[in-house]
Amino acid sequence: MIPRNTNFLDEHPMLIQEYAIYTPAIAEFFKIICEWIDNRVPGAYIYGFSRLGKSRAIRFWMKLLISEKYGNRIAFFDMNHKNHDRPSESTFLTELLIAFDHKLKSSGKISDKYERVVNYICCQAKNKSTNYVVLMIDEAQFMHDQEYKWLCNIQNDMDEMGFRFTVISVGSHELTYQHEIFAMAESAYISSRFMVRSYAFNGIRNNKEMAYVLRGYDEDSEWPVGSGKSFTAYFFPRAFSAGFRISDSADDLWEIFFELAPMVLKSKLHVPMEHIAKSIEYIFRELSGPEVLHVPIDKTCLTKAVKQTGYEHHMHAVGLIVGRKR
Amino acid sequence: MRASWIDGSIREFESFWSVIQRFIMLNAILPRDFSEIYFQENNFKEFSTNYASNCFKHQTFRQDLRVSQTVYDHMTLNSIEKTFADQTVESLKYCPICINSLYHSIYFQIKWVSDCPIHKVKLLNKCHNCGRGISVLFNRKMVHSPYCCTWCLSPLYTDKNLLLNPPIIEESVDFKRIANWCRYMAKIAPNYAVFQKKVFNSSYMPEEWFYPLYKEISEKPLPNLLKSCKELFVEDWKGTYKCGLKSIMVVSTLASSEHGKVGFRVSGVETSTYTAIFKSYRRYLIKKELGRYKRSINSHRKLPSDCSPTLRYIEIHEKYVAIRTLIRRMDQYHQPERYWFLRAEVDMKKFFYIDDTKALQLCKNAQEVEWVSSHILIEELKSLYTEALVVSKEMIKMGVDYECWPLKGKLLPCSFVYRDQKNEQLIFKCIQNRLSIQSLKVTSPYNY
Repeated sequence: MIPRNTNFLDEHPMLIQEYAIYTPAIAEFFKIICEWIDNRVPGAYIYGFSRLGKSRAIRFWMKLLISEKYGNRIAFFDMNHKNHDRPSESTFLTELLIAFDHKLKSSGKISDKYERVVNYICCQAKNKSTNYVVLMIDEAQFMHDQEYKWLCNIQNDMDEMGFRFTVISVGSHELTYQHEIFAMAESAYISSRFMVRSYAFNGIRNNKEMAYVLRGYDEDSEWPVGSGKSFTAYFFPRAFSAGFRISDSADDLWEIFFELAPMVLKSKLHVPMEHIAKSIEYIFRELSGPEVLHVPIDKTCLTKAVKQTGYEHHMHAVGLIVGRKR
Repeated sequence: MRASWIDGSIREFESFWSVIQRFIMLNAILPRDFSEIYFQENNFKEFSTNYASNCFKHQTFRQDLRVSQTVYDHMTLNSIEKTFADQTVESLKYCPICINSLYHSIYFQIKWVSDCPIHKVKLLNKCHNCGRGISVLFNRKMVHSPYCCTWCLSPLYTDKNLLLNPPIIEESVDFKRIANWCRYMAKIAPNYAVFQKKVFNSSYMPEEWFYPLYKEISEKPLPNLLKSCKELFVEDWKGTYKCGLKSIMVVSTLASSEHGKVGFRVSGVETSTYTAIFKSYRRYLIKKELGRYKRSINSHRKLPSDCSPTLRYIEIHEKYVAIRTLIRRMDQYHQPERYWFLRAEVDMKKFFYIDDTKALQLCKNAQEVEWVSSHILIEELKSLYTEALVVSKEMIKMGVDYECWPLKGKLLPCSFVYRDQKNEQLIFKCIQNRLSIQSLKVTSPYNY
């Protein structure tokens, strides 16, 4: 089962790119989050280069996985932070209220909004009969120290009321610099509160993981809902019956991704999930048909699929950053 | 879209006033937001929180509170609003202890509820700070300063932290009793409204609504037809009756009373009216209950105010029995002519303002007696509805659990009978409401 956007139920999720395949990276990501949750850490951050699938993991999988594991024992919220040149408390609180889907998002003074945010979080926790709340902030690399200070206020107030509040920031690799800046500057307490623990989000690291991901298209997916047809079976009905599986091309696909990656990254390659998904989508789009019995997937075709995703340019940019960091 | 609210935090019998203000506090909501989200046509209007106003989007609010319709309905006194609006107060009555738990019960707003059923303290109706009455009107002021005095804006609570941990309110039997009362009021309200509006037609006996109402307030089994009323009462009549100027012996049984089956005797001198029978019976009861000497008993012209509800109940019961006795006698002795010469007094407006006895004295035959006495019963029932309110309150104060309360003795004369001079027909008219009765200054026929 692949979580997908319920706003577009009539469209195939692959065609509108509103789905997320469960990957080994998500499994690891979730495992580390569970560890933090169990330890009730006040804050932590997760970083990783862009396009690895962090946002999709949060958007499509986190709520589901947390509710599966913890049931009603945790109140979990996620928000997508928006970049502002000048942070404003009012805007920040409004964004939080938008993320909570609160009925009153923007009305009132800062104090009204603040009260609304704190009460909402506490009410949700109370409704789940817990005193523990987790807030996951995506695109946290854009967050200013001011915004962390406001979160700090919320955390303190909640603490007084007997609620524990964990803030997990998720963002690109800039988060690691931010941690250092906070640690060196006067805002060291922010660093010690929200950035003590960290974890690097992984991409796809070898052919085995690639096969695991591709098996998601062959087996662990379904469209239309309740039909029992996987994505591969939907696009290649005859070929699928005849034994065609996209996961059989995992080794070839990994090789291509490896070959096309810059030298500097090859020793520790993390293939972004977006490029894998877009490659598969391209293949499915271009080669699919109800009558297709033999799917002509060869290395040339796979290379074309990978190249059209802009993988080379992206990895080149990543390579430059990694090179600079080293 | 969601609003902050703790599921299941509405406590038993909590008022809409209390709930909406806790909601305002949790959501830091502004009047403008209220207009947009919860008011019809975005139009903020004042309304009494005792009732569910039509200008408010209750369905939306209920969904935000995530409660069932039943729970939501119990937050207001809507079920009794139209008929018994005079039973509630528009200024806030609150228990000083409950309010600290951010709790206010809708039953505090009932006029005659003076003590908190939980803490047994007097309910306050003034602000502890400025000493002015606090309104229960939902208005902008309330939204700006929830759970505060509407005049000086001082908070009525002491610990705001309880907002997220609303304490559990103890259950109280008295609350249940008041709830019973409200349920009963809601049940009788539609019929009561009919009583208020219905105009009796002299030639029409509205049986179809007489019986259901009769069942509502009477502990006796419901007769299938009006005629069977007679048999029903006769069945209760266990003793013998002697005609003539000799002493009479009357024995009756009460099928249901507080002490189970009770038998009693009535002795007196036969007269042409049942009033004398009843008077003697009353003397007997007073003697039995109060154990006083005959001399002092005779001085008791009225039932003592502190007499037991049973005594009051028996009094009414016997009244019906007495009416039926008259009818029975008339049939039994075939002496309709003996009432020929009886006349009622005529007043300035050429109507006979009569009591039951005089009405019966107007009758020429058994059919007329049947007709008049049936109307009298209806009129008595009508009065009893009004009295039921008063009695039920007394019952609650006395701590009596009741499902069907005893009937009160003093009934108002709501009707009059007169004979049309042209066609000799008896005409029955009723007075519409209490006010007009009072303005006519008619004294109760049961003021012995």
